Amino acid sequence: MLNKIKSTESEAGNEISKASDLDALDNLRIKYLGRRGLIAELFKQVATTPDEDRPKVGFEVNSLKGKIEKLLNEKQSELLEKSFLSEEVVDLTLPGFKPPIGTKHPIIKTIDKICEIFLGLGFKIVEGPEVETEFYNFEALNIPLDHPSRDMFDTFYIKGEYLLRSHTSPVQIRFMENEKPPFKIVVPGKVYRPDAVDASHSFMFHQIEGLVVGDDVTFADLKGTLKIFIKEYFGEKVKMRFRPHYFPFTEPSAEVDISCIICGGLGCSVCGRKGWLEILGCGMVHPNVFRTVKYNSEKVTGYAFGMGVERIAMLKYGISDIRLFFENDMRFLGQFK
Amino acid sequence: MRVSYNWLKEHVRIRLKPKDLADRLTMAGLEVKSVEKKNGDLIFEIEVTSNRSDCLSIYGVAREIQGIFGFKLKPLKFGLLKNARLNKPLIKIEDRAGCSRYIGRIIDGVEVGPSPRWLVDKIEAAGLRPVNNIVDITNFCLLELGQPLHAFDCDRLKGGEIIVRRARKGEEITTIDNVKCRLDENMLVIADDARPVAIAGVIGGKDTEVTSSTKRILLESAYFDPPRIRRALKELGISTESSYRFERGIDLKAVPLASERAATLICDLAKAKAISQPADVGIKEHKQARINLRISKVNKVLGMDIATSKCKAILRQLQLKIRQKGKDLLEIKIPSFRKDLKEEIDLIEEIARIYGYEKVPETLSEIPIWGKGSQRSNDKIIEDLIRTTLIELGLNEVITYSLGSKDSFINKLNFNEGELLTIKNPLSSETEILRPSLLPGFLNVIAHNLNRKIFDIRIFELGKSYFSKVNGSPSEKSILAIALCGMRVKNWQKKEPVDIFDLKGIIEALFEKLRISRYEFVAKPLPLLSLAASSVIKVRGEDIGIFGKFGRVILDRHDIKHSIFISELDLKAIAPHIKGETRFSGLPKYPSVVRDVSLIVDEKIPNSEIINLIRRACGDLAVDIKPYDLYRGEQVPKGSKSILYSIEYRASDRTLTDEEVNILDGKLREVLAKALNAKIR
Repeated sequence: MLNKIKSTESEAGNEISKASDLDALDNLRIKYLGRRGLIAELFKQVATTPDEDRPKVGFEVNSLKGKIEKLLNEKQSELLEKSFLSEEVVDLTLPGFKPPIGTKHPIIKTIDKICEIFLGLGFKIVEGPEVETEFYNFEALNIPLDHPSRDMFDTFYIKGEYLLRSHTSPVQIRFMENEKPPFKIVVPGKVYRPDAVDASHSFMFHQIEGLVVGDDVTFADLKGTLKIFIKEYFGEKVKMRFRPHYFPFTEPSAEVDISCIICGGLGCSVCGRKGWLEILGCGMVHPNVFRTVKYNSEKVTGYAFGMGVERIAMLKYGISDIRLFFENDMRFLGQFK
Repeated sequence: MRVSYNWLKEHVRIRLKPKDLADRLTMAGLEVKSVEKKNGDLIFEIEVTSNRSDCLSIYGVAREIQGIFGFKLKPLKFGLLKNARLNKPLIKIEDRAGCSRYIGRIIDGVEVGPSPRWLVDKIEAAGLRPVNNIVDITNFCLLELGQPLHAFDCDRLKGGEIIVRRARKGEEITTIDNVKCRLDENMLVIADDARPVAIAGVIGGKDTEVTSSTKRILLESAYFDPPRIRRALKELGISTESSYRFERGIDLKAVPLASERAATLICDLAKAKAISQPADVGIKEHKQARINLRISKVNKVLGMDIATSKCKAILRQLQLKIRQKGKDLLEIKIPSFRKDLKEEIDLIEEIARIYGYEKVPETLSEIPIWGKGSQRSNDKIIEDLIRTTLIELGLNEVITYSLGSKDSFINKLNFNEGELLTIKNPLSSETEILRPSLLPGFLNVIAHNLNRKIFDIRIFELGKSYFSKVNGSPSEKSILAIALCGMRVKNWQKKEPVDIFDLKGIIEALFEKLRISRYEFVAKPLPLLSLAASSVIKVRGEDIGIFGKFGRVILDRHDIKHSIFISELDLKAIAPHIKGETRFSGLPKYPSVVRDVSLIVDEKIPNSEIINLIRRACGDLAVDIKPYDLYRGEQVPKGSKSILYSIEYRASDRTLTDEEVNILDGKLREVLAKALNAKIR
């Protein structure tokens, strides 16, 4: 038995020293130290040696195992060092075969994120046509012909009564014509206004509109809902304020400012040193709007709000030129993974 | 509007620092955009919303400050008019609907010259240009009281009468800005016996303007119907300080006030020798509106509890007269300057904004869910699924303009002008046409990127295209467009240009995700596309979109030298073919056997035909048939191709034996050889 241990040792020493590559060395490791290797075989035989020899033999086999392990490890280091100089080891600093990652347009990303918050608050997403009529875009929203309030909504006309909607509010009317309160909806979509294109103006942009109507919907509910939205979207620390304003289709109306997300309200170039950023318009649905869709304006109340998606995306992502959204430069889009 | 702080102080006692005044005005609805120091004064730039024409003057803003803060408004004090001994002018209002009231005064012996310093300062503080004392005084009254005035050179008026009437078709007037305007019957004019001498409420005529040689003037103060003024100025494309106020509506009660104010100043500053009594034609006041207000309604709308006494105090401060009609019910009398207060809700807003929006609590409505139906529409669900699938497949979403230029659609893309929807009032050539397709926008995106040396472009867009319905009315449809260009992005070591099958694979993957089956790509020459690769996509025989490669002529016009593969799908046509969630069909119980068949056939026989033949020959037992090698070249005869198919056979109720499969395979080979005249290997 001891002889056998000796011969195994010399044979292993010999073979390991001759191993020429890592593959061969792995084979030897399996041959000697593997689950069915020679050492395992010797251990099995230890069990059958006479009692008086067993401790000694056991010790020898154990020490042989140690020696072989050491030899293998030494040889491995030696071969590894050598092979780094050859081509055998891959250069893992080379790039992987990366599958392409597509990107959602930042405007859609912003719309989805905003809608997600309102879905969580129990709103439904509703959409409407971009090609609209005078009635839905103006008259039904309490914006009569020959009234200066129309100046707020410069509009592209197509032909006859048809136009490209200048806000998403017409969808309010379309929805209310077909549904009965109570309901809570948000309406994302494209809108158009004949504005000369520059860094902050575009003739095409996106809005998200909200409308809630029911028996006891209040101005306080409007404030509460928008507060949740603003904290969820812009962060817990952001402050909100309601400023009285005028929109023909809401009364009372307000513009909503948030404390500047860049300077925290101290005043910077983004907020025009005011510390506040205007982000949306809102108010209680005007009774004339309810009258148009034949709701009982004595019984139901409602609130509506609307925001410009580009403005919010520009603030959120720090984009200073609105034209970037529609140029679709791959280096721009690629940043919104 | 530019408001001088010093001037404001002449009308109201302000007990706030200017900065605080600005902030608090903003928070009460009169937004102060900026405050600018100028010559010892502060100029507030105030945004007056279109409903608040009463704030379009210094006095109006002072009155609003009183309403908001309760500061004391100072009474208006004018000097006394002397020498009112001339005859009144003759004034006739032919169009009563267009002009409710017209006050005219003759002032004689005026000395036209420069205005004194204090007047020049006020005019300049408001951002206007001083002209001469007469014009400056009319502007001063406009700025102070919000009442536009006009002064005519009386000696240049023909005949003895001033007439307010509709313009006659074809009449013309040259304005004081030297612009010749053609008038129509919808416009209101001030005329003498011979011709129009002013476009009412908008601008005066050159012929009768006050000049340095003017001695006798006619001073006009009037009320014109706002929609009429607005229509005229939209038609003429003119906007003046006067028209801005008239179209928003002025205070009928300010008409005599401003007339008197201006007359006194003219007597004083232009050393007039004599003046007439005013000729005052039309109605003296509009019926005063009364609105019922329920305190319970105030609190129902606002969602809070403001005490009745507080509501009444606010209304009183706003110069509204209150009559208590019941415990909860007040009748409110509206003063003539607050035309914006028309019904109960308007008063509720007044209470809310003066009380302070910041004091309204923040609550959540008790409406638990959205209402009927699902939270997302089916169309929305499909769009979202398409979007996520294409992004997973490595495409970048783009948004391109829905409008484009005639040049790009007609000259560069061969669209027929008659079929395009056009914008009546395009802002520039870039907004002339409503796009009939998303592909032109894609060409722009691709050209933009190629010009910046970005060659690998994989894009899609979900957007609308526009068309005329059969009845001629414009309409829109939802479109998915996809384009590929540049290199295949799988492996940086092996760069290969993308080809048509990259795009086809994307569409196949999308259809798999949408569970659309039985679609086919049917070759068909289409505009914009290259004959070499141009097809329609059909699902169950119905056209749902187009697919192919941009034609070279089109590319050349956009200066693009790369191949671009594109597809455009009609989402409405696709929708009915999308299947809902499937039920799990179980895993196969028995093993399958795969056999290959290799054939040499005429090059023109398409894969689809061979696969259909195999399917028919093998029946249901062939569960999967796919080509896996295609060869053209020296090893096969010219005009032929060698193509290899692998066919997977499986039965659902037993393990197929070798003999069974051999029989099927043998039969298949026979069928293929015969039907396709193929050489089987």
